[in-house]
Amino acid sequence: MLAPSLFLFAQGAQPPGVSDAMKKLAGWLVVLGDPNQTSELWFGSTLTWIKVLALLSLVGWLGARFAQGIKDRTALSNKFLDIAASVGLIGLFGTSLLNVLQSTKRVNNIDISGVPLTAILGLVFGVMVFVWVEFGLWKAIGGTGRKSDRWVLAGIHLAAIFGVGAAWILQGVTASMLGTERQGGLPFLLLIGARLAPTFMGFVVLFQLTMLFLSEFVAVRPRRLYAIAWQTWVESFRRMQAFWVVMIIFVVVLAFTHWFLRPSDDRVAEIGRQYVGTLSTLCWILLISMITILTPISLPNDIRGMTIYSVVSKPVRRLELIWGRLLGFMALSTLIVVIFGGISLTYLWRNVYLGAIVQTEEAAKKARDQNRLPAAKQLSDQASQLRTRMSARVPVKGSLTFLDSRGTPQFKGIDVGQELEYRSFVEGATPSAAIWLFGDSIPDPYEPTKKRISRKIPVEDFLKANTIESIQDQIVNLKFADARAAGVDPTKASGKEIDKAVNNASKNKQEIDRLTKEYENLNKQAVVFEEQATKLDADQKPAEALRARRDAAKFHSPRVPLEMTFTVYRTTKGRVVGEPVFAELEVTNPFTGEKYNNIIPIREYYTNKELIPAKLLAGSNGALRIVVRCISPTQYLGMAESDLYLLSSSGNFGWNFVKGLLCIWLQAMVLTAIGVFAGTFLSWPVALLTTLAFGVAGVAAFGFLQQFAVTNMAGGGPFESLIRLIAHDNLMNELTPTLSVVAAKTLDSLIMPVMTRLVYIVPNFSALDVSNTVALGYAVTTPILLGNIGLAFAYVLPFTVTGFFILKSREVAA
Amino acid sequence: MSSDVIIETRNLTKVYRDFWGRPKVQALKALDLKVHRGEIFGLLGPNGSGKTTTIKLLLGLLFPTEGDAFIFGEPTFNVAKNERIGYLPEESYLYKFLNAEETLHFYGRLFKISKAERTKRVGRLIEMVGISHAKHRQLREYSKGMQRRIGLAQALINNPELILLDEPTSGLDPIGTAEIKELIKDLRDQGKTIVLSGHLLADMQDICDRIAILHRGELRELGKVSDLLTVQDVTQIKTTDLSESVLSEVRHVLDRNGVKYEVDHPTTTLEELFLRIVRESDQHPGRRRVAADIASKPSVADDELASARSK
Ligand SMILES: Nc1ncnc2c1ncn2[C@@H]1O[C@H](COP(=O)(O)OP(=O)(O)O)[C@@H](O)[C@H]1O
Ligand SMILES: [Mg+2]
Repeated sequence: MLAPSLFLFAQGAQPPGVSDAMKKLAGWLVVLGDPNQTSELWFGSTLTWIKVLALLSLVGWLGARFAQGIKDRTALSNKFLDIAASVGLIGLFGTSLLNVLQSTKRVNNIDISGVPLTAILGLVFGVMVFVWVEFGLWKAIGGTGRKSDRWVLAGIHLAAIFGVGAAWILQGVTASMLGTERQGGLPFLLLIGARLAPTFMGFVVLFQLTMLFLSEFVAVRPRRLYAIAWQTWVESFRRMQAFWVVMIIFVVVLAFTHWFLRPSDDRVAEIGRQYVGTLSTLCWILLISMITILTPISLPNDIRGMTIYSVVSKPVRRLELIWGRLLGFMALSTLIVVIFGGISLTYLWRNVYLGAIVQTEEAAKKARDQNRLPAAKQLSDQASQLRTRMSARVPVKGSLTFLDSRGTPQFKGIDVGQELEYRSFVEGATPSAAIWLFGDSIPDPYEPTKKRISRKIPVEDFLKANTIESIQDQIVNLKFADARAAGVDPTKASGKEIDKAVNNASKNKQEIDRLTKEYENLNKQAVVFEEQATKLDADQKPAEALRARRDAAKFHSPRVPLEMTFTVYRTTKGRVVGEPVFAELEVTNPFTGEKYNNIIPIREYYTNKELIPAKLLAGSNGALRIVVRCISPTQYLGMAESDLYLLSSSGNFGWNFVKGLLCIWLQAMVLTAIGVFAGTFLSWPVALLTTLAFGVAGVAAFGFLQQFAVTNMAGGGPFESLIRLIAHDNLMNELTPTLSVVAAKTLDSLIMPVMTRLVYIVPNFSALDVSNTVALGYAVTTPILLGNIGLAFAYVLPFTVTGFFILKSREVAA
Repeated sequence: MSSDVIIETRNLTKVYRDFWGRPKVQALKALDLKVHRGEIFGLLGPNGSGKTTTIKLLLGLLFPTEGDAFIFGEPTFNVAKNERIGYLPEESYLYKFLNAEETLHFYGRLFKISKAERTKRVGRLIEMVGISHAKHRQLREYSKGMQRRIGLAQALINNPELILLDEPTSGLDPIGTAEIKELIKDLRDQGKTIVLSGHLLADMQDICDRIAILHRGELRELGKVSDLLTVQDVTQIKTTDLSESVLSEVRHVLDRNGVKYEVDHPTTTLEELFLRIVRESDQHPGRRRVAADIASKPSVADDELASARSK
């Protein structure tokens, strides 16, 4: 109930009876306060980032002050309050136990004059703990804190009040929107307040930290950064011998790789992918292992060996100690990546390009010369597959608009009210549809009547020269030019009218005739093979039939790959989990009217691939119209503009490989930041383990962890899952509320809120990893690259700055 | 605060705590000190008396449990003050994988010094502390005394106004000690302020203008060395070539006045003797001084001498 109403504001819905200003205010309060909502404008993700930082700062700040208070014996000094707080904590645990018992129907719901007992108990025990926390904080900060800390503490309280005020406004707006009284009373108000206030409180802390950081930042000097970086660099070489170790392992493994990855004759086409994949993985593993070992031990060693004394007694800023190290390690990573990249590219050039592609092509040519046509065909196929993999295919994207369930054009599809969903939906078995337009001049979906934009398909990248389709394309284009010259609009006129116009206009006639002859010639040859194939099929000779088909295909351009990734929103559960929802795909060439239809089972989280006949592009002038409908009744398909695209095969592989290496470099940078950060407060073995844990969590478990943060996991939290695991229970069954189940659910309800927040600090290495994209021959596009760079810095900055605050507040000589 | 006061501590107190915040050692108790411009100030005390703790507190490497410390009138956590400070840690903890030149350039880069000026200073300091012959060797190959020397050089790379030296002579041979003492006096003559700590009384006595004596973290004595060491009720007369007849006349006069007295030949310190031997043998190489009353094992002395010279 809470979430959808908040969502409504974020979406900018039009509640009746609420003034525009009020609505805007409510919207902003939600966008700024709720960590799970964000603006759809360009700064949306940055805003989320800031909100997460604010929340983490708040937790860190409170935790640090409180720990300080306990260490200085200023907190925990009041026996009475300490006992009250312990009672409060136990009481809170009991309350959530009661809550679980009630929700599993083991205990009847108890209300006291209309308010649930659990709410009242929660409030009372909460206040007991709250008073203790307040007391501890004021004492800790009153005792040793600086003046700015007192300001922040006051600011936090103001922000908390502001948060409740915001909740009050939202409650009011919701009420007048629904035309009812304020709902839920005080508990509900506190509930919304509890969701918004921490963010606002966090902003206060974040502001103080930002100010402190900036005053440090302006004092940073390049020469000192350089000095620290230089020292780190030399240490890695002379003390750790890291560079040499890594290089030797690389060369040794490469020698073995060469030995293992001999191209076997039947899977020659795979060799490119294997080599590229192996090389990037090798580079990744070596670099990441080196960083994991090297970075977390650097600062602890410096502190333990007391070499840091003579450094920090110079005018070095603490931030410089961290950033300087980061730079030094990144210089080392850069050197290693450059060397790895150079060796890898040379290796790929020799083994895949010269070794596999060129050789296969030569073998094909030889076979052709010796008139062994089937073998020639097979070889040249292999060569072309190899070439595809050793390229950087680029997605060609169109512009998306929708038809709603009544068939009316809309800018957005249907909103199914899911939070965090940027896709909009088409409803099954209705006229509702998603339409992607490609072309030189198509209506801008934002302002369809006023503006036009270009989403032209680079046809020449798709149609192979001297194939039936490319000749077709030329003929159509010439005919259209003639028709236009004769004053006939080729897109509206019938074929006969066009032909008449073309025959009358003599300009391109000769050329058209020549091309037509060539076209017919090629077509005849292709048809011969196709007929042969049909006959061979009938004779039960599938292998030969296949070969004949391949021969026929040689006269055609390859089919155009189309990829789609849709989400599914089910209003009724399918019989089986993961049962596909069906989509109808219709591709039209708007100029020639050529059409292609198919029905595809859509699987969630899959990239659905479809191959479109190349002839659809002939005479298209780079324009296509692709319509997707959902044909499974009562189900919805969710899609956004970038979810459907054609794949063109242009793009330089070498450059793409370098971009892949850059992304490995970015991962190394993030891990370096974490390693150095861990070293600011942990001894080296613990720092090493911490860095390792971050790395493993980010690489292996990020998707899983993210689910904690976003949705409730199927099968409950960690403790409930454990019980299911032990009991071999299905994820979907509601567990019988035995004692252990109740206990597990209670623990989960206490732990989940913490877990979901902690997930944010685990870096998403899988998002930064593009090695598979490169190995499969897809281009790492500029938006992906920029996004990854942004993401990497979004991790590096907070980790290094936190490291700075820790280093600043600790005694390096204790 | 007058600009003449370089260091001031007020009620400076340090309690070392364990991980849980339980107090472990009270290393410094309510120290009140002022160090003035241009003096050599000695922190004297036995091991574990809180000298190093005091210096670390002054540099902001440790945070005071109570009280305040100011350098140049600024609080100690202010990093910018380090521009004008040189510090030699108790042991020269330097990066062992750098050579002497690299070390000095590294520390020099942390200050705002032009490259030309830095190169000049590095050369001069290496010369001054006497390790020119080993300047391209990594510090891991250095002896303790050599490390001490390069440590001193790095403390002077920024031509500091205030120099904090924690046991500067520990690990040095007597020649090195004497050289360092000379150097410290030179620096004072250039108008620099120097704070040094130590437990070797003789060393401190020679060079310090004022000393503070710490014991178990408490300040026991503070004042001018000459004042502290003067024994007011004893008078000493030193002469050379005093003949027996003159001596008996003096005795006679003293006896007549009823003064209690002792007469003997002064002894020299072993340090002074050692220095004299080295100096003499430098002037007359090859000549062995046979002095059974001084050294029972001349060969040992020779070894020490040889190694001292090679440094
Ligand atoms: N890091 C530390 N942790 C705990 N106690 C320490 C630490 N450093 C010094 N101490 C204690 O503080 C006292 C003073 O030490 P220190 O200042 O090093 O003495 P000094 O330099 O005069 O020899 C000693 O008792 C010593 O054991
Ligand atoms: Mg000491």
